[in-house]
Amino acid sequence: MRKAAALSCLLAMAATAAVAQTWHQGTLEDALARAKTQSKLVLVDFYSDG
Amino acid sequence: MLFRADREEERGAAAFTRFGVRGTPTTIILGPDGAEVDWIVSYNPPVEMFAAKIEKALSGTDTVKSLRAAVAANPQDAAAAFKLADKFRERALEDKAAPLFKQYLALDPYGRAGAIKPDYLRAPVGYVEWAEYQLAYFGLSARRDPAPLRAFLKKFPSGQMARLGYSSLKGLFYASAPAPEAFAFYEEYAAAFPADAYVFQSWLERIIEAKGPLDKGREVAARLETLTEYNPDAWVNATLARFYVMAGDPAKAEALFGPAFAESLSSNAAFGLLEFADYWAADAARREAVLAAAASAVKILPGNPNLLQRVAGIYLKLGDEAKALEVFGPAFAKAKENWDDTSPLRTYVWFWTKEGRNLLGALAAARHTVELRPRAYYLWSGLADVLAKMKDYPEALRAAEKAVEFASEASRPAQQKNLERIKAAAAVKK
Repeated sequence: MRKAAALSCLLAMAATAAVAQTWHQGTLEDALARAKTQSKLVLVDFYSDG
Repeated sequence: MLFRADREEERGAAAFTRFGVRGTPTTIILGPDGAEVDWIVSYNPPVEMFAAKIEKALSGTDTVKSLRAAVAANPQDAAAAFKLADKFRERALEDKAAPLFKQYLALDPYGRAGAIKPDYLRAPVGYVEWAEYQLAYFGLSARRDPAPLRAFLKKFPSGQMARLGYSSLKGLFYASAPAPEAFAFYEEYAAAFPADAYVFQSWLERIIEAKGPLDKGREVAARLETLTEYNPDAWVNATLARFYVMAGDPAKAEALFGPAFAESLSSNAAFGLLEFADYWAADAARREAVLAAAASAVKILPGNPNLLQRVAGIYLKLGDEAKALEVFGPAFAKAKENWDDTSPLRTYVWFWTKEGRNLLGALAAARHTVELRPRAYYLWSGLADVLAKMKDYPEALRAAEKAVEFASEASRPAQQKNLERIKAAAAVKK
């Protein structure tokens, strides 16, 4: 998917030497709970192969 | 923090349901509280453009959250109402978009608040025209009612949105309307866009589906052929061929979409790729794309001397003489199908003489051409040119004299001039 590639590129662009961003592996609720404790935004990529 | 919601996975599907996402790709940015801050629907390259949208969303400019706040704080803010409406429109949330578009139109009936330029439009469209189009389109998409779009087209009969409007109506009339209604629509559509080949192609497809009327089909096909005469299109020609077979004229179908069409398509593709490669050859940042285009062109038309000499020229521009010689060097000249044919050899001699490289290879080929056709003046002329380039003036003059001797009356003056030029160069050398 071109968008998937684009997001990967974007992550590469955004990643610093110290912190590389990766996809959250748990559920969305887990991600939101973590974001809340860290006062961060969550970027959700709605993706489908179909 | 990044979360990928894959519709095919349970946790992803749950996110689709939770946020009512209908289409992909969609990117939603959530605040730490789980509320939607902003979203970006669809993706169009390049990646930098998408990155800019994300950056804008992260900066808080014109986000769903900030626009909601702006409209709540000032319900008279026409631009904010419009932008928020369009945010909901992107997500196909018509129930939220429509009241806001109406609110905007009431606040700014003369369209002073601005214009919008989506990625897929060539030029900006005024907010009023855009809002009216979207409201009309909701009628078609939600209730399959063409009346609002028809009313829109009456008000905005030309331009980008009219084209979109007709295209949307075409979807309805092509698929759902009985043939007479569909054909009446196509008459109107073609009158509005008489130079748009795809309008006529769609009309012809509908005629093929209805298996007639053939007379009208011939008229539409003729128009379509005229519109694409200088820029043939595979999809258009496939439609034309299908129609002519149905109309009992398979010879016409063959002429339009037979093997000659495929050959021409290959040639256009290969030389088109070369235009691209040639254009960008001087740009070091595009080197990979240039090499890929050149390699693809060679794959499409392997062994074509005109193409190979241009590919070699591109490699020379990139400073890779070895690669130029690999595709169009002695191995090419000595290949059996070329060594016995003066036409590719002549191209070979001309190219390397012009470049001033591989002159020994060019000389061997030029000498061989005059052995193959000893009375062809232009081959002697080619031999004279390569010898002159090598500064072997005595031999060059002898070859140029042969060119004059065998030249036709019409071409003799040019050959004589070439002879004089070589004489002058020889005199300078002395």
